[in-house]
Amino acid sequence: MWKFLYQMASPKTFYRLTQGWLKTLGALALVFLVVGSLWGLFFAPPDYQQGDAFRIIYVHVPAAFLSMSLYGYMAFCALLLLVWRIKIAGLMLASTAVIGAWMAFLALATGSIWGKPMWGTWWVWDARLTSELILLLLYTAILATHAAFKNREQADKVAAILTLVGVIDLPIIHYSVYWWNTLHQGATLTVFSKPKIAAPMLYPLLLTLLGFACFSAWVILQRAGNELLMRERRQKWVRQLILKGSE
Amino acid sequence: MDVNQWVTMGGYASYIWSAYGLTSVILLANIWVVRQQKRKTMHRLCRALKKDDL
Repeated sequence: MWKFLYQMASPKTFYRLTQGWLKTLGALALVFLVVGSLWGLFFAPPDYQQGDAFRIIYVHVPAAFLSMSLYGYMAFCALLLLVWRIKIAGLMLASTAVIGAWMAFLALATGSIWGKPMWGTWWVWDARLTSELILLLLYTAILATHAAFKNREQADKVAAILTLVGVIDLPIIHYSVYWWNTLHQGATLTVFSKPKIAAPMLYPLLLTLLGFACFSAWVILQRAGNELLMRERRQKWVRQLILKGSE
Repeated sequence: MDVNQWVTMGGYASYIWSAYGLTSVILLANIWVVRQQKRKTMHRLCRALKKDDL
């Protein structure tokens, strides 16, 4: 395990390993997303209160879940970079922020589309919605700050500090539905208790969740790979790789 | 499970299809962007290597 982690800190090994995972990840993402959405859209039974409108859950919950867990992952990378000076972690942090921001945007947009028929409004300044909007703003702030520095490594460090400051928003989003009276319904899935959703509705949700996770990982590794090649372009292994690619 | 219900979605068709449509567009756009980025990176590095200016 430690040996594996040490190896992952070397750019060359990191690139070789992660690029090898891409095909599998992409295939898994495609299968999970297609099967999960078709199942959720056409074969899961309609909800007894919300009718067919609840089917938005199969894109809304995975997007919201990923927007938060990707941020958590960025905070972990920020610690690795700032405390243990692992440069690859900085690169991963920056590569994660873009897809994280898209997930937060998707969670808000699909939630809004769901809110209109169920609550009668596209938007309310409710605790859950507002804290998720703050998460989207945090992502954009991190991306903007990162882009403002010419020196990539300095950019990583500043983005890492900003990420750690914003981490306070994660528990607020999570507990917002319990701490305040909100329009938003309680959590559908929790780690320690029985899910509040019936099995025929649950399975497609788990599939789309896995699909969104694999998809995000695929996008992040693609981005990280590209960025790594640019940063390490003066190294011999990159030179050999390009020579091999251009033949 | 009849096809009619699949299309109308119990009256919520416009909401459901716009939510799924938006999601698909954003996911596909992300794929397109990273692929484009990869092509550009390789192209740039290739050119730089030929000019011996990495």
